[in-house]
Amino acid sequence: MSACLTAANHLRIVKIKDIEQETPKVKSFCFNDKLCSMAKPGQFIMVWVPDVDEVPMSLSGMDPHVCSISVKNVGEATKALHQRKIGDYIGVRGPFGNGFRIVEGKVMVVGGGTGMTSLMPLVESLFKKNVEVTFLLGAKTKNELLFGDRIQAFLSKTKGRFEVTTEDGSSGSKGVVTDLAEKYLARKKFEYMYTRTISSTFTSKPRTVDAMRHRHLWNLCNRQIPSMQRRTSSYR
Amino acid sequence: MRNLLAVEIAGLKLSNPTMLAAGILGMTGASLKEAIVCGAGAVVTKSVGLHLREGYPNPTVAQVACGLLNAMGLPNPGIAEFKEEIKEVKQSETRTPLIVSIYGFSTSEFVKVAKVAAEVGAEALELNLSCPHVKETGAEIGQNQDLVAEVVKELKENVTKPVFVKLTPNVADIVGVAKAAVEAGADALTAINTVGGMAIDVETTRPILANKIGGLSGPAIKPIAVKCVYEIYREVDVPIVGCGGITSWQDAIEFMLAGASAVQIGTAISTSGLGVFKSIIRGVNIYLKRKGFRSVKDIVGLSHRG
Repeated sequence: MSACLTAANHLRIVKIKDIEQETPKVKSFCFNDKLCSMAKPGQFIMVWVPDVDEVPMSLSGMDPHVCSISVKNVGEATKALHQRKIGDYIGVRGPFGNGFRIVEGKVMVVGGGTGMTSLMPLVESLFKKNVEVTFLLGAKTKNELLFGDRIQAFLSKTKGRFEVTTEDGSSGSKGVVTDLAEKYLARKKFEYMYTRTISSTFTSKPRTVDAMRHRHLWNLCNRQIPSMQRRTSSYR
Repeated sequence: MRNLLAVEIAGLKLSNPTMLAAGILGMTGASLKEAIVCGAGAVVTKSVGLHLREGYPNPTVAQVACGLLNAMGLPNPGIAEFKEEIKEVKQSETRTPLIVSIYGFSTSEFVKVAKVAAEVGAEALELNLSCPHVKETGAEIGQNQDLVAEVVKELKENVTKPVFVKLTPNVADIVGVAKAAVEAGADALTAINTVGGMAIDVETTRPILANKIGGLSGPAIKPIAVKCVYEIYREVDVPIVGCGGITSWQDAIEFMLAGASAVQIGTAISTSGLGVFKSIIRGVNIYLKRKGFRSVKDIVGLSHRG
């Protein structure tokens, strides 16, 4: 019992194998790690940027051969991470958290901003199981739409619906993705909905889907995460 | 049936000799209550001071072989805010003692924090004279016998609740500090806090903890803690609460044989979950019956006799 503590909590040093510029502000960092490869969609890891900070990050990819995190440059740790190059080292611990429940039936997935990072592995699992997915993707402007092309590629192979919304109307309809979700819910019945929306600007109106107004959803996985610039907790 | 496990420490009645150690799950009323539900005989809060402290940047915790290194930097919301958490526990839980761990950057700060904690229902106070990684408090007080005596004396004059002193092992003579605390009026001692330590990653060549230096807890420090309890027991007459790497019922028994009247559990919760309380309690109970002891008190310090 005392020989070693938990395997997931152990810090592993991994080499950055590849870096991809997803949008002007979001980069994906690819690395190999056995435990992260076995993570469930929606789980997160702690990423250590030596000398700077250790921050929680959703896994945006968890293939057997390569894992990834997708990071927007918004604060001290993410800025430092953005300056790392292929071949540099970072530390990872985890995966932590419960992850999404993968369901069948009619499903709606609502992703806003960098909230998409944790939804990407979910969408991959749902497509693999041939679940009929209605996918709503939102961002502030066209070039900040995250993973839009990847989802489009999936959808060309399976059934499903994909709609985009931007706050400035530069792509798809104009508005915020949660309003679009409300419209869909009013028209159509879904058995399950996943939402992850992260907004880097605070608006007076809470950008979540009102669960109480849609009681026919037997389960709602609904969370709005405020800007990453705000510290999630001052006490650790 | 008679409870073999009941103990009394500095007037506090515990249904069993396990306690939640300071620093783990002691931040909210809800988590303290959960530890109680899971069987803890008493709970100790995370250390709280007079003012809000953010603590250090991450990593604040690093897992090493057989233990955890941490340098949290005493993050807490300050007693004015934290008293609501204490109240929450006391509203629903009246039987299990709640001990509030406090720190201060001066004697008067200790007293101010202690008074608020006592007012809202803390059954006792545990003085953090042993945090190894924050300047001008914790171990910097606990390594100096005169300062320890000063803080304890001042508290005893101003607060009626029992005072526990949590000792640091990062001293040449822990027994000397223990005696100074007891002479100044400490009602009980907790031994030990973490052992100073650090870890450096070889690939990046950087220290892992943001604060670079931290404190080591867990099974790695158990033999050090057992020795400290054993030596202190010979020299002082107040109850000792053993702390340091207790993971199993055998560990708990070992500490009690060395002289501990109760044991605190911290790191083991992060690896085994809160079920560790029940498993230790059950194991101790079976051991006492198997050996024919009538009370857990009978084994306290038993290794010194016979």
